[in-house]
Amino acid sequence: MKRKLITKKDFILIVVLALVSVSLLVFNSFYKKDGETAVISVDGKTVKVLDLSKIDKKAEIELENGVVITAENGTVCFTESDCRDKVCIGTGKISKAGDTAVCVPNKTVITVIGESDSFDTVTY
Amino acid sequence: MLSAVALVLSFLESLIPTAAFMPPGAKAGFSNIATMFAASSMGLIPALAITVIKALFAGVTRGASAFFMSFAGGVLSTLTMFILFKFTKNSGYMLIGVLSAVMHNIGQLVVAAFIVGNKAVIGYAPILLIAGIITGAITGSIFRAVIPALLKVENILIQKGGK
Amino acid sequence: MGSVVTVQPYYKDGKSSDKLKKEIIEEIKRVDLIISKNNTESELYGINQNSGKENKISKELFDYIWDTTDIYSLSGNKLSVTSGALTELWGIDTEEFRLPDDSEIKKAIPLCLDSNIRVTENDLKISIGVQEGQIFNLGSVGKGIACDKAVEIIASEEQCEGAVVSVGGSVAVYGTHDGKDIWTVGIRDPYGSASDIFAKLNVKNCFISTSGNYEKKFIIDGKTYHHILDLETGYPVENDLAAVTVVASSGLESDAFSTMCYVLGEEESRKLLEMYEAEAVFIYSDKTVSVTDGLKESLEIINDDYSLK
Repeated sequence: MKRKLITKKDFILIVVLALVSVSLLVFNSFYKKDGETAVISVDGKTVKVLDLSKIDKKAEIELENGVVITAENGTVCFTESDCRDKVCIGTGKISKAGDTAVCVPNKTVITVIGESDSFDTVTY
Repeated sequence: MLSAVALVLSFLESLIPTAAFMPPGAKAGFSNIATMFAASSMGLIPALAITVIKALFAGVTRGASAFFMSFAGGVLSTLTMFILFKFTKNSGYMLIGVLSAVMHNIGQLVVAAFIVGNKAVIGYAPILLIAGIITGAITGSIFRAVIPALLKVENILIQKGGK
Repeated sequence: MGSVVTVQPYYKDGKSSDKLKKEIIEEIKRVDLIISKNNTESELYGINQNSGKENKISKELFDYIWDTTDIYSLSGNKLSVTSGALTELWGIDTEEFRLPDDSEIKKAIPLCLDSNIRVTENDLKISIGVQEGQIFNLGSVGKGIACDKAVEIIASEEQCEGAVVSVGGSVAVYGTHDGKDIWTVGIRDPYGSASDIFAKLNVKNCFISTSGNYEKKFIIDGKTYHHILDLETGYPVENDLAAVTVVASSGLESDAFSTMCYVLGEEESRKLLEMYEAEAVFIYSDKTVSVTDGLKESLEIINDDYSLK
């Protein structure tokens, strides 16, 4: 048996897979509108809802788990975390509806939601 | 021995600055070369053993959540490799690299969603899929290039009576 | 209290100030020092330490207890302000859940009866007493009381035209924002993530609370237990409701009613809601939704998985 590096069929399969992923990504970034609200959750529980359209000056929010989240000009991002890999901070600023930034070690998620599902607050 | 190779590769990889096109948290996955070698020429158990050791390494250096993510991704990816190597005669190295990298990322993502209790994390899927395709293609190609060398190393080790 | 407090005030001149927010946080801390069951500095904690004897009590704490008892007495013995014996047995307040023995539960049930509360009034000084081992617990109304206090402060601030307040998911909307008096309050999807809502309520000047089986839960031997207890059986309520959202004219009422409606179920709750002119949305586990007449126009379901009954 001599296995090849790549066969014609493989090539087609990889290209199809790549096309699907790229189109998902393109669809996401082109059709996503700017979000209005950022929902911060820790361990599956909402801890804070930020109205991004109303934040005019830089706002820093420190959560109970020590994570610091900064909101500014309609964007929101992780700025401080005690986790070791800092993937959350590396994600950078998010602003579009559907965007998420995650700090897995601290179980913290920021989700931006858009105008169509905007609200003043949430009851839970 | 092979797990040591995997760990060294993991470590070296952490020294490489993340390329600009890579999404946060994605890595080149060079340590998968060692796993691929194990899956292709040594069998499922050694390959899974490497995966577990890698996950423990991740756990020690980057915390418990890194362990679970690495473990889930690693097992899924190793199973994918093993099945492809064992049951398909004509799928190429690059395809195996790509599919196992993609499965690795999917496994990690699902575990991440569980850990943080928020399925919104799945929104990362497209970018991680692309990252998986690129890194998988690269590791698959590198693997193809280094097989002769790896086989030689193995033969030497066997001749010396130990693995 | 351990809840997240958010205040979003709107000012007539469009300016914003942190003063109001600070005042509200201070006020909520003050109230917490009165009603918290677990804060060892609080008035309620002191009374609970001294259960079985007569205790002097502040007018403020007495009113909270009395107003809540007024509502909970409508439930028979299913809810009570003295639920501490059972909630502590289950570890609900500390979120360190455990599954108690039947015998432990049987012993705790009589300690939750609010008919044991004795009140004596004397020279305008009130004393309160319960059986030994009986523990006051205002946890189910604490967030609502905090919302009430926040709105009192906002109403006294002349420059503020309105505000939306959330204390751990209990919500108050007050006044106007940008000239509109209607506020949109999302109701969390009981089966979604923390950031998912399944419906919106368009309401004005009111208090909204939700009780659901998803908030705190734990699994033992494959069986899921949640945090809302029926004090008559001593076990978490088992019914086909996923959550109940209540709109009322005070936070204490909306909080007390959301828990009570969840425990009693829709049919019985509807009569009691009418007495207090409160409204409710009942969300069932099969994702059907039932709503009282006063909210029919205000409720907008945005997740297609859900449908009106």
